[in-house]
Amino acid sequence: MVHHARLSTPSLMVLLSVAVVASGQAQGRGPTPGFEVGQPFPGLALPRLDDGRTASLADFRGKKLLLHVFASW
Amino acid sequence: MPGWHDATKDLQASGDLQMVGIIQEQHPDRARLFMQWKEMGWPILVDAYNLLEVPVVPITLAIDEHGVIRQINPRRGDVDRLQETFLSQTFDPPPGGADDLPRAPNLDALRPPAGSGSAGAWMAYGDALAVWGGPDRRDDAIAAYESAVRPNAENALGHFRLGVAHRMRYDSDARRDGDFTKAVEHWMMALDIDPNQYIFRRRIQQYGPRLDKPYPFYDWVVTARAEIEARGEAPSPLVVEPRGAEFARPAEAFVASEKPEDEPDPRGRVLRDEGQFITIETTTVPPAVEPGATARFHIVFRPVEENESHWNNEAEDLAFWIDPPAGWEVEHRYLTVSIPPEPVSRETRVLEVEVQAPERTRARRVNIPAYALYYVCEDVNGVCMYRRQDVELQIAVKRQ
Repeated sequence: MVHHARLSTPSLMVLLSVAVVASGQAQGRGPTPGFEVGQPFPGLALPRLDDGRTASLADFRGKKLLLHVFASW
Repeated sequence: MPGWHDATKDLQASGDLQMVGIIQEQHPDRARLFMQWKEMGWPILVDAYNLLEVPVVPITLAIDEHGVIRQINPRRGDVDRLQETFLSQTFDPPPGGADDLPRAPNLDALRPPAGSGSAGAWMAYGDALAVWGGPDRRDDAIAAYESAVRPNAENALGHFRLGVAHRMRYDSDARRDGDFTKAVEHWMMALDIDPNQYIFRRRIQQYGPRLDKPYPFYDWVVTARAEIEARGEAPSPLVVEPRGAEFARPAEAFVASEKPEDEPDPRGRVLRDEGQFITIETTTVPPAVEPGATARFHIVFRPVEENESHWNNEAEDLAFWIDPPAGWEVEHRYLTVSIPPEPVSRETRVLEVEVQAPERTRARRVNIPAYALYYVCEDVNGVCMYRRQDVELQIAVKRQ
């Protein structure tokens, strides 16, 4: 199950509390709790790597995305 | 990930596909260097605190134009299938419409009243400070996460984020004594609560002993810099250079040096520095081990600013001697830090060494005696001296 943020309120308490662990099963490889096909991606604000400004995936609305959650190690 | 990038270059160029990354890493600037190396110029968001609560990386998601997840971990590099099942499809918007853009909240209005507030409220406040507060509010984020874990000791994410914040402060000019040790302790508490969380586990392994390493974490940095420079570019700078454990390769067995090593001050005659000139900070990763297991000591030496202390490099290397009790093994009992070429310097010096606990021990906490010998000067009175500083390398033994 995914908890999806409705970001119409400026309350970050709401914004952040919805990105909660939930169970889910990846297609093909390992578990990916919190993500589920057919559900919106959590509406989470995060700093950008290039300039530190806060952004979210909503900034890319209207585009098809391939999102990689990763680390360089 | 570079495979997806290479396979979708045309789609990215035509605007049919937007690549985006979210970094799950303590030092995101290292990911910037990685992206430069692989020539991946797409937008990256930083999630060092793991607000997404992912248990593992990498994860790839195909997300439609409305922000809805359509595929999780599509077959790696299979662009034809992605085209057929995702890019060529038209998707309906989710019921209720699309999300609004997140806006910065009034951080102080989110703060629960002192001495009260639920663990959830303190977590939300800490998360808000982590995202919107920046380095200037890091102390407040640490205090908020401390308030979040106090009433709920099983708050794994709270402990993890507290560890992240402590390590961030440790890597900044605002560092406080014990920040690195607290980071490791909170990461360990988080992992003890949730042993299946690999993001927690990797933070510890990044600094931990070779026997616990799945791979070298940052060995790619050397190659990346060389190849970037060969292209005529300047490598993106790193705030904190990876070192020691972060480069170390995994090992299958603990090996203690068999080379005879002579103790440099066996009778303890060298005059002591009680920390007036050089501070020594030690961190053990992990802080507690099972009998027979290994840990890594991080030993950090810093000249004291108040005394305008600095290293005198016109003599010998900094020396470090470890005298483990019976049954305990260290890789080397005698270690040195090479002096730089300039006659004086004020750099932080670091040693790392691994230790193995005995297979059988009744001890629950062991303080392994050690000492450093170094040449140091202070500019207040203009005195240079050779000094010894005694330290204890602390490690706990878990009950089996």
